[in-house]
Amino acid sequence: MTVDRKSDYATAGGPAVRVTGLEYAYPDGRRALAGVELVVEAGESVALVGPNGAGKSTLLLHLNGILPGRASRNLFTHVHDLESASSPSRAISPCVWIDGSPVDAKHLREARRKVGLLFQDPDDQLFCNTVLEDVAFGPRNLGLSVDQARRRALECLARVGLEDAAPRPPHHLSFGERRRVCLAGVLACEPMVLALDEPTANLDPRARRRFIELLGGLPGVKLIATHDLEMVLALCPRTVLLDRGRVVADGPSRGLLDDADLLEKHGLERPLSLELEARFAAERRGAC
Amino acid sequence: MPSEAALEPARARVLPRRADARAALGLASVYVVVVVAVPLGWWRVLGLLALVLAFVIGWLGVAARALFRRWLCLLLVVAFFAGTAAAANPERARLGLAATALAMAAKSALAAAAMLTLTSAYSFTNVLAAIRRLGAPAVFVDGLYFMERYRHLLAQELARMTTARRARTFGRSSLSWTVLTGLLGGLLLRTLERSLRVHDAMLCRGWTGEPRDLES
Ligand SMILES: Nc1ncnc2c1ncn2[C@@H]1O[C@H](COP(=O)(O)OP(=O)(O)O)[C@@H](O)[C@H]1O
Ligand SMILES: [Mg+2]
Repeated sequence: MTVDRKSDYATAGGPAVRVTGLEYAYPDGRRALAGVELVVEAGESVALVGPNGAGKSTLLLHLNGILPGRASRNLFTHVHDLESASSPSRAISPCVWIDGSPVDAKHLREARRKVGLLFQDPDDQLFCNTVLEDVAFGPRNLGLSVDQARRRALECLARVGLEDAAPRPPHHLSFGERRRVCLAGVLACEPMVLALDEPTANLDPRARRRFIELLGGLPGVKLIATHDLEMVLALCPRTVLLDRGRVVADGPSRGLLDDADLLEKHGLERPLSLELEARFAAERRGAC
Repeated sequence: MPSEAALEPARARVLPRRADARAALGLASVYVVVVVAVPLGWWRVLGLLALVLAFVIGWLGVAARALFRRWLCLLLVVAFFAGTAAAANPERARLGLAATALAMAAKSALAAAAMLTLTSAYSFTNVLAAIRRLGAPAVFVDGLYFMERYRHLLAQELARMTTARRARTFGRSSLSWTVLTGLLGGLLLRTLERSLRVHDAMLCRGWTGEPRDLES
């Protein structure tokens, strides 16, 4: 099932990501999303910011239909057979479209191929015995032969600077390395949209800088859920502010992140670089 | 809890990789059935079967030490069940409780050793693929695949939880039954949540329930 992805995408239309009126409550009744509206065009890098519990991770999980699949699942049913993945009641009105196709039971496989999701905790994503096997997991499932999958995995490991780690068990790597392996595993599926959940959380400064440089060099649509507002300024021209499951602001990152009152109201702080800039500007004005 | 090294897959040095994993699985199953069928108290026959297994392990070139360590972990479980089940076994009247329990434990341990050898000699994925080809339900195979995939996380999780506990009990060892059950319950819950997230991550990368790795 090796498909030519580029031509595949060319036939589809619409924005890269469209979310309309998306609501979601976890099975325990906790309402995580309350009518999210979001459109991301091809080529855009968008930051998703907001306080803890705002619903950022939940939103990302909807992009490739991992949720609401889980709601209809208990521990004893398996949802990877695509028909049962979303319950019929949910399938009536899809709220998420990727590249023009709705994310529903019928297009689930397609959505999962187009959206690459980087989980917050690398340990959730790495489960194979060696780094190489793990990165090759996606390509193998997409139908590539053993040789093709191996080649692609090595390529992607080289892209994240970890080709030497290929034979090592993932749990022996450092946290930063593990996260880069995860990224390689996602890239190996050649997604059109990269959805990254707190990609710089828990990284030491050097690993963080490397990871940001790495992300900056990647083409395609990026949707980054994060608290790292300096990274947002470096990577994302546009920012969406989410709070209590709703989009409360959406606009150019510099303007939005410079609005100290707005950020304060939603549990965030103006990034230090903008704070300093504002202070210098004020001082200069004072000196004149 | 075994160390992580012990949980590493014991990859055999000389592998009859080309031999069909299905045939090996069949042989291992036959061996297990034979072991189970041996009447309690037939020690010589059990000894002979053990010798056969030892020969096979040597012939396959399986990393024997890692295999032995994994087997020791299983042995605890086996011994526990044999101990509880022996009391209800009718053979108890003839052999006595201790001998019955010992014989049952020996048989189970031998069967476990055979299966461990199988999974060490062939990659676990190969064995699973063979089970699948023999017509086992996907859910069952999935469960096994999954267990294999995140067992090292289980060890880590337990280590973290015991450390956290130790930090709050200030080094006093207080492994009462309540503490232990609480620990195990917590581990189970965390494991379930983790397994859901791991499963999600697998789905994200196109998992369809069919084990495929770089060897199969
Ligand atoms: N598995 C879950 N079960 C129940 N509630 C959850 C679960 N995961 C998240 N939530 C709740 O959903 C809300 C949104 O969570 P999340 O999307 O993780 O927020 P964020 O990523 O922005 O911090 C929170 O109130 C959180 O408590
Ligand atoms: Mg989150």
